[in-house]
Amino acid sequence: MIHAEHLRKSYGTLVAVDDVSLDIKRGETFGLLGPNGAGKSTTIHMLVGAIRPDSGSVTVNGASDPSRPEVRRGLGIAPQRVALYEDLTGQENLAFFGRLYGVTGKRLTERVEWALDFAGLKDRRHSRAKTYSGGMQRRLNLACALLPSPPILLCDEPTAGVDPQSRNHIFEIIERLKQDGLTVLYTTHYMEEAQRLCDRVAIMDRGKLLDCDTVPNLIARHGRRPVVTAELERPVNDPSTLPGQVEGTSLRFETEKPVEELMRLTRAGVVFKTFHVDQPDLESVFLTLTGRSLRD
Amino acid sequence: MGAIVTLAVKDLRIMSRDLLGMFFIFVFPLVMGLLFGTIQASFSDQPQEKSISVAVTDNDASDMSRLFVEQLIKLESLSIQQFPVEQAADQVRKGKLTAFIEIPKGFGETAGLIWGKAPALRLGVDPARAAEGAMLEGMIMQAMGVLIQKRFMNPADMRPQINRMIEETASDTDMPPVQRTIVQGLLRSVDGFLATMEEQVDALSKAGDGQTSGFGPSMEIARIEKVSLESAAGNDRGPFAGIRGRPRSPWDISFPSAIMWGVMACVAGFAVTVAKERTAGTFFRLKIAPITRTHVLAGKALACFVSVLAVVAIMMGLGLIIGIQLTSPGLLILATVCTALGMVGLMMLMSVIGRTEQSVSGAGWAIIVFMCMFGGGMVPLAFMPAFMKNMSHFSLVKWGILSLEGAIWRGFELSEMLLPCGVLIGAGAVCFVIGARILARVDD
Ligand SMILES: Nc1ncnc2c1ncn2[C@@H]1O[C@H](COP(=O)(O)OP(=O)(O)OP(=O)(O)O)[C@@H](O)[C@H]1O
Ligand SMILES: [Mg+2]
Repeated sequence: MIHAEHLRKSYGTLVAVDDVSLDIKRGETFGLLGPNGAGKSTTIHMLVGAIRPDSGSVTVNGASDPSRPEVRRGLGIAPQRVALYEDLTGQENLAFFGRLYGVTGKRLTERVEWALDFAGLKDRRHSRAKTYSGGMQRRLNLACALLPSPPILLCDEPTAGVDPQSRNHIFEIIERLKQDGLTVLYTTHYMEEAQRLCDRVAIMDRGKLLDCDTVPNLIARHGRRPVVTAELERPVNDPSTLPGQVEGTSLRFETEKPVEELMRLTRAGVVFKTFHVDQPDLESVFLTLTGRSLRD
Repeated sequence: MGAIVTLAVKDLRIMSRDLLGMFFIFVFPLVMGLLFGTIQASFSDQPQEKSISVAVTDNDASDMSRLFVEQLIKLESLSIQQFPVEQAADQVRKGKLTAFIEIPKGFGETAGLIWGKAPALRLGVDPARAAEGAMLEGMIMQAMGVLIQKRFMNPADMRPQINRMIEETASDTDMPPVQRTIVQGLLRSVDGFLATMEEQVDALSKAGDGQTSGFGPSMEIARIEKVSLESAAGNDRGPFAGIRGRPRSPWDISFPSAIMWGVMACVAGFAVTVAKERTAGTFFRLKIAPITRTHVLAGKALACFVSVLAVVAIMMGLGLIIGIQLTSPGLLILATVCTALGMVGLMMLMSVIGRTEQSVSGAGWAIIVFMCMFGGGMVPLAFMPAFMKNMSHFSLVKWGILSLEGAIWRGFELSEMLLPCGVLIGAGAVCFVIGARILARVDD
């Protein structure tokens, strides 16, 4: 559906996007995960033709120029910066963007209703957008992109500043739209979101695409092993029979199969007071790939 | 086309919600129009019975020469008609008229300035009516006297009103500081201008003591060259065939200026919306929507065009109610359309002056004040020194006012409308292209 090859974009000496290639399949939810300044937004902007790449090519739905109106009509784009007409009401904003995408008449009315419901703004529909809270504006920003029910949705950090409940609501809607075949490109720096929503995730840092695969594959390839930390009832006589580091009654070890290992130790007579298994996640993948934490 | 209309409707809706903007587009210009109209009305006499029939040919077609003709028209004992000089001479020869006055080219530059050496007025009198001819000479002096008075006496009358407006603006807490500063600056510049004029009047009256009292035989006030009827037909015709029409109500002069104030406020308003779209990110959103840049620009242009038309229509409607008599509705439509087109271009250029709403708003209002000051929107062109009149050619306001006046009271022919309308459209197109180019560049 979206295919990019060797995209490159620099601003002066700063290389914002460096040789990025990706291939997003129909019906797939594709995550672009990376810290601030990784080049996620720049990549999206090149994919939709808002920024001309210095080199490289993009095809969207088979068309090589994504800025053509026919191609754009199939792209719902929610920019990272909330972009609304603050002197228009929520309803008017939705209707305006709907019309630009060629939605008119009865269908426009229906879609506006749907979008107001999605954004949770039904009772505030006649208030001007500037009177909305930050989270409401962000929901409306995304609703404007979804209103024309485009087959492809590109959302650039749609959940920043949205409360957990609304965030869940957004995820549910996106999951439902996925079932109907929506193709999604989703950028975020929250690994939980990428892990929950995305079929495949590309890890980006400093303009480079480091790796791209399903979450389990990425973890298998780059993640550390699960870590077990445990507290024992009493110190064991011979700590060398235990795996990992032992300090008094505290135990910490890495293992591919934490459950099996715990059961083996129990059978060997070790009595656990508490234990905790730390599963590897994208955070650790990022750490391995870049030597830095995603949260920095 | 649908997208363009959608975009334009959005802009008009946003515009109509900006109450302060609406104030500057409609209320402020109306107040200015009424104020200046009242000042002008206090100078004009009631029309009287006319007796001596005189033809006037205005080869200068400057605002001063027009003012001179207006003064002659106001004189109760004169009945003025306007003809080309050949025809005028012919009428006098045939005895149908008592005399003709030909105003030479260049008359307006120094007329009314006592120290100036104005080219001589040419006066041809029916030899059979020499007595009336002598009376006419006296009346020419009187008219010139009014010119002098107009040049110098108004400031004292106008200053208290201007000062009151400055005070009112200062105490208006609703007005944003930027706008307040600009409006005050504008009013102060008018006041300063009037103050200098007052000083000149004082200096003049002291220097003039005992030299020229009254308008007696002094040829410094008006030089008159008497011509025999046979050599009357001059060849140096100005660009205009002379004014056929004349103002019929005080609002005829003040309203075109007032309309242009409203139009300019509208232009500034739209220029600011362009900057606002850029800072608010909605321009980016339009950029990624299934429309082209041409649509976006056309939508803005259409919205601006429609609102300029609306401003002129509404202000003209009010003007008609209070007594403006429109000479040519057809030409008014032409003038309005051309003004609107010119202003759309100006708006485009203004919108890329700055990156933020504040900078565009500030610079935009500065341009407006400049264009209005030099274009006759504040002080009628007739009262301006020569250098300011020359500057006026660069002010779209001047051409807008001229085209409106041409339709309202100057009685322009279609061919005479071509100059102001051409300038408006041409300058508008150039501004639009430059503005759109800059916008495209900063946007990429
Ligand atoms: N218009 C621009 N001019 C100069 N530099 C830019 C411009 N746009 C982006 N950059 C730079 O390019 C780099 C990538 O920016 P980009 O916005 O793509 O990052 P991002 O991954 O979206 O980050 P975030 O998570 O903060 O949104 C940054 O270093 C940024 O400073
Ligand atoms: Mg970003």
